[in-house]
Amino acid sequence: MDDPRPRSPEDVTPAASPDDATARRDHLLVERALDGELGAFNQLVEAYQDLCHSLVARMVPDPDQASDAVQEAFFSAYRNLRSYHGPSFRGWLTRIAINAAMDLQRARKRRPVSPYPELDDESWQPPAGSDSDPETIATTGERQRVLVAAMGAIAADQRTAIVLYDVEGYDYSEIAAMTGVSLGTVKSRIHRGRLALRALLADRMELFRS
Amino acid sequence: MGHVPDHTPAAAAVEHAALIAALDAGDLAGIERDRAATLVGTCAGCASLLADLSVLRAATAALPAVPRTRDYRLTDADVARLRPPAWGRLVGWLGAPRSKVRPLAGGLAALGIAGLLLSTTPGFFGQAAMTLSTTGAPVVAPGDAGGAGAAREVSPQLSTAPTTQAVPGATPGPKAVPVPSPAAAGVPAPTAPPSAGVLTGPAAAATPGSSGFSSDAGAMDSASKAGLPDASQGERNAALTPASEPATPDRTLLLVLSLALLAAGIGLFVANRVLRHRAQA
Repeated sequence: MDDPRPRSPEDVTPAASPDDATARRDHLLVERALDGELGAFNQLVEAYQDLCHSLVARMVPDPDQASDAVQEAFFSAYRNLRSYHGPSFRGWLTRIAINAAMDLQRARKRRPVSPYPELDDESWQPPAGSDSDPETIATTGERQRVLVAAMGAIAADQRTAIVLYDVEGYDYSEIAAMTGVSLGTVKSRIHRGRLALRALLADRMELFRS
Repeated sequence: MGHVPDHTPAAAAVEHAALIAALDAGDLAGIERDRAATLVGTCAGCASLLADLSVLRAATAALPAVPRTRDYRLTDADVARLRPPAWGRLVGWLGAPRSKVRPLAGGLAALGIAGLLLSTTPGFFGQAAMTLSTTGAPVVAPGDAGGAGAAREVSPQLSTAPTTQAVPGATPGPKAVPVPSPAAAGVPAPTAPPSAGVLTGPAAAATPGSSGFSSDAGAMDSASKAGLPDASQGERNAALTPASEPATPDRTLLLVLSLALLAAGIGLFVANRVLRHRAQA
């Protein structure tokens, strides 16, 4: 007889979704890593290190600290691999990376460091599309530079919510589960974060309107 | 004092901004959405805010991925460093969701409670010890360490008269009277007068079996009745006290052991609970 109780996603093992080739591959790699095969775990690292770095680098403004947080996230994932029960290794790892970034931001709040050292470097330019003319590249670069700077200036919890929602594309409920707050809190953080960004960029809005 | 609504222009602006931000995110419905739409239609600042939020949202979503500058693959040295130490493995075992910690904790606590109940049950030890003495088990008086009867073991045949007649030799402590004891020599003393405080009958049979202390207590009682000069009243009271209380060394040992088991069980349970909560957090 089927259990009528609703099941959370954590209750579903990776084998329950055999159609997902990525999940199946991840599950096999996790099993081999649990058997002590370091190469299998490193295959998982190769598959997800760009994703994790991109996510954490948006949440943690300092690049070195962001790299440290990502490394710590992979260390933590390796240490706690036995606690992974599916369904998505990507989701599980993303949550670990977010926690590592949030821990780092909390520590940073206690010991503030100079944010965004790359902003002191006038030669730094964010990457732009390859099919743009020089003026557009310059405008896009400047827009991204000031936006990244403003992102680093808003509250860490608001920045995390905005990055997860606008940049990474998670929905409200996923963000609520990842960050351990209510749905309303997630919405509120996103709204307040966008208003804070707009206040910080009030005199540079022509860059974005154009 | 109740909450007083803030109707200042600044408060209204903050409220309107929050409403516009919610409208931009698509999180409004019904009356709230109508109200926000009215604001946007009637207030130029609100309309400008909505447009700015929209372009900022688009610009944020279009932010390029930050290029990775480090390879995060683990090395053998990393793995060796990440291997948890012994205490880490212990903590992991204690906090594991499906470990045997909880059944073990429950078993230890149950044993502790059972031991506590047994040790506090009146008469349990007395009956058990009496059963032992009547079945021929040797009974050693704990107070005989320095006395003449240090090596005395009461045989089933000598469990009544010889023991009770060995009154002078059974006097505890270094102040024992150096009177030649028939019991110490293993010789019965049939000439000992009953009026000298010798326990006879059922009391004499039961007293050595109830506990070692009661055997000495009986001896002390006899000594006092015999008027021995070296047994002070305090010593006599000290010797008499254990016989009047149910506590025995065996009972104390069981009590301590039970408390230790109970504490261990509760400790394991609490550790498991705390570590699991921490892991979930």
